[in-house]
Amino acid sequence: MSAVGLRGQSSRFAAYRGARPPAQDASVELGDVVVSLRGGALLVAGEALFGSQGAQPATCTDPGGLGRVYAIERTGFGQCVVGAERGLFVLDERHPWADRVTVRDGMPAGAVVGLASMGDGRLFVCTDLEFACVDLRHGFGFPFGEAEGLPAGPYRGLARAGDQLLLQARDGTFAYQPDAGAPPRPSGGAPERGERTVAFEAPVRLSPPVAADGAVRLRARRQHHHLLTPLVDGALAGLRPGSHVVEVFAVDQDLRRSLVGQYDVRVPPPARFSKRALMAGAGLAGLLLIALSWPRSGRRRAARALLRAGVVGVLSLQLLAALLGYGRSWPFVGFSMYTETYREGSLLYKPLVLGVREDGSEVGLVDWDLGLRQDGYWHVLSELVYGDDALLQKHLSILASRRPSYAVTGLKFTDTRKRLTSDGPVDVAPVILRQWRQR
Amino acid sequence: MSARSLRKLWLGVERCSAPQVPAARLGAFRAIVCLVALYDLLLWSNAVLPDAAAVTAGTQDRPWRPILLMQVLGLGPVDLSTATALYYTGVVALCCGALGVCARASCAIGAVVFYWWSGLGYSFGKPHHDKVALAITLAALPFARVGAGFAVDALWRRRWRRPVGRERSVRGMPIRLAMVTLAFGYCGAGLAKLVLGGPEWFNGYTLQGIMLGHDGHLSRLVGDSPTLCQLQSVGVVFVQAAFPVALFWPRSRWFFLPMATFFHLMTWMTMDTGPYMRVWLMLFAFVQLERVPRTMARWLGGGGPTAWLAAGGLLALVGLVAFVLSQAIPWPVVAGFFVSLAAWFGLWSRAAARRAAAG
Repeated sequence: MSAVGLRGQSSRFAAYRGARPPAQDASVELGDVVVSLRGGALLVAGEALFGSQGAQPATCTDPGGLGRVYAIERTGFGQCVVGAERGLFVLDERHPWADRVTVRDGMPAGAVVGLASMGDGRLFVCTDLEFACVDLRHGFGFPFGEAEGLPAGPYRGLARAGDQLLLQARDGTFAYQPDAGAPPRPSGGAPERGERTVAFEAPVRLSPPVAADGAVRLRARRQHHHLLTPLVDGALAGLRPGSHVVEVFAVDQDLRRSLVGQYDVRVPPPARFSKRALMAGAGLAGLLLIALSWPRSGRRRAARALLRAGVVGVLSLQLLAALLGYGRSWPFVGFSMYTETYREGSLLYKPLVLGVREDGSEVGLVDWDLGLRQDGYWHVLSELVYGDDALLQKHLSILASRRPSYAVTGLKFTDTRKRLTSDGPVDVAPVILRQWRQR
Repeated sequence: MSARSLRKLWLGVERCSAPQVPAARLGAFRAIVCLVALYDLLLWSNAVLPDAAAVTAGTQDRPWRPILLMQVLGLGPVDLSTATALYYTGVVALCCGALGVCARASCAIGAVVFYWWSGLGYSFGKPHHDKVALAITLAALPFARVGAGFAVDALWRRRWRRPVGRERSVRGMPIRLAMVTLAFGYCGAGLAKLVLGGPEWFNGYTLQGIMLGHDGHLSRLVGDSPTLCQLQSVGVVFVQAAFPVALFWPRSRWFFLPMATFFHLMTWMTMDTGPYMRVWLMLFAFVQLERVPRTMARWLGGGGPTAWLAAGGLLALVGLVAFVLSQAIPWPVVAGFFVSLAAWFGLWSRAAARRAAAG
C-alpha cells in the first residue's frame, strides 16, 4: 500500500500524566434497548426483548461467541460496537445480537482490548499488539506504526479524555490527539484530472499530488461502484476492458478523506479480442464454414450452405461464450451466474436507502421514490453515497414530490446484512455508509 | 475425415437443424415468438425511453458501457426521437410478424429493432440471460418460410393465389434452433454449477444465500432451512443439467417443461428475478403446436377429470400470462388479446366439428 505526503511530523502521541482511564464497565442506549458491559460480559436489556426480566447475556451469531468483552462504544449511527476477545462485533436496536464487523483490510488481528468512536463511523481500535483507525462505513482500516509515532505495545486498553484518546501501552499511558492539523487535500487546490490508457491486465498508475500534515494512503473508487480499494504502490489493478472513471482519495491516519484525483481510464480489450481481430476472425470463420458446408450436389445449394453454416456458427458461438463465461457478448453468454458458493457464517448484503424524518423515525425507500433507475445494486446508488449536498438535495426533492406523506428530511444509505447460520438466516446490524440531513 | 463422411455429417446437420414440420406449427411458433418479443420491447421501453430522454436533455445518470454487439456495430446512445421511431417501428413490425403479414420481412425488421433495443437497454445497464433463446430464434425466423401457415400471408395466398402443396410442411429451423438453444442454456447453467460451484454448491447454504441475497416474496419460507435448500439444490441442478433429454425423448417433455416453468416461477418468488416469461413461453418450441387446439377440444369436450384438469391448466396458464403481461401492457389490451384468442378457438372448434361431421 502506498503512503505519500509523509512530512516527518513529530508524534501525536504524548505521555499522559493525568488521572487513570475510567473503569471499563459501560452501557449504551439504543432506543428501547440497553447494551451494557459488566465484568467482561455483554448484556442486553429491553422491554420488547425480555419483558421485565432485566438484562440478559447477549447472543452472538458467531459459533465461537464473543469471548471476554473489553469495551463497548456507540458509533453515532444508532449502533453499538463491541470489542471482545474474539474480535470486533456490532449490534443495534433492531438487531440486538452481536455480529462480527466486516473489515476488508487494515483491521488489527486478535482480541480487541480497547475502542474509541469518533461518532461518525470512524473507530479507533487497539488489540494486544496493534492500534488502528477503522472506517466502519467502508470497511477498511489504517494500522498505525512507527511512522505515526505509535508507542511500543503490548496495549491494555483505550479510553477517551475530552477530545483525546488515552492508549495504555507497555511504557505507560499515552494521549493521542485525533484530527489534529488539516485533513489531506489536493496540493493544487483542486483534484487532479487526467486520462490514462493501460493495457489489458496492467495496473494503472495514479499518483495525484497530495498535501497532508501526516502520512496518507491512497484509495480508489470506480464510479458506479461503492468500494474504496487501496492503491498498491500507487497503482490500481484489475480494471476490465472498457472505459472507467476512477476517483482517487487521500486518506490520513485518522481516516479523514479527500478527493485528490479523477481519471478517465481506458482499457482496450486484449489484441485477440480487438474489434479488428474479432471482425477478421468472424469473417474468416464464416467463409471457412460456408466453404466446408457447401453442398456438392442437389438443389438450392447456396441456401443450404447458409443454413448449415448459420446453425453451426450460432451453436459454436454459444459454446464459445459458455466456455469464456463472458456476459457482454449477448446474446451469446456464459453461465457463471449463481455459481458462487456460500457456507455457514457467510454474509449476504443488499443495499437499502432509508428516509429519515425530523423526529428520527425512518422509512424504507425504493429506487423509484428517489428518481433512480439502476440495473444492479450500486449502479447509480453509489453516486449518491459519494455525491455532494446538491445531488442529494435534488433526489430528496424528487422524493418529496413522489411521496409527500413521508415527510423525509434526511437519507441513510445502508448495506443490509444477513448471516447464514445453522439455525437459519439471521438479519444482523447493517453497514451504514452515509447518513445525510438536509441543511 | 474423408469427403464422404464430411458430406454425411453436413447432411446430418441439415436434417437435424431443419426438419420438415407442419407449416401451422412454424406459423404458430412465429406468432408466439413475435408476441413475446413485443412484450419485451414494451417492457424495456420503461428503461430505454427514459435513457434516451436523458441523452436528449443531457442529464444522463446511467453510465454507457456498450455490449460487444453495439461496439462492433459502432452504435452509441440514441436521442429520444430516434428511440421513439425505433419503438414504433418495432411495435408495428412485431405485430405484423405475429399476425403473419409480410411475415419474413416483418420478422427481419422486428429482429433488427429487438437487437438494437436490447443493446441500448443492456449498454446502459447490464446484460441479462433471460432472452437469449428469444433473440436467437427471432433472428432465425426470416430464414424460414414462417408465413406459410397460421398467417395472414397464408390466408391471402389461399384466397387469391393457387395454394402450393408443399406449403403444408416447411423447414422448421427456427423451432429446432430454439429447442437446442434452450437445452444448451439449461444444461450450461446446470453444468456450470457443478463445475464452478463444485460440491459446495449443494451444501444448502449456497442456495439459501442465493435466494435470500435477492429476497423475493417466498425467500424466507422456501430458503429458511439449509437442509431443505440442499434437497432443492439437487433438484434444480438435475432439471437443468438433464434438460437436453427433452430434445431426444419427447415423452420426457411432460416432466421437463412443467419443471422448467415451475423453476422459473420459483426463482421469481424466491429471488425476485422477475417472471422470466420470455424463457418459459419459448418452451412451446417443444410442443406440437398444430395439435394443441384439437387436443384441447378433445380434452375439454370429453368431460370428467381430464376436462377439469385441462380447463384448470389452461386457466392457470392464461391467468399467469395475463398477469405478467398486465405489468407492462394496459389490461384492456391484454383482455382484448385473450378474448380474440378464445373467439378464434371457438370458431376453429365449430369449423372442426363441422368438418368431422361431414366426414
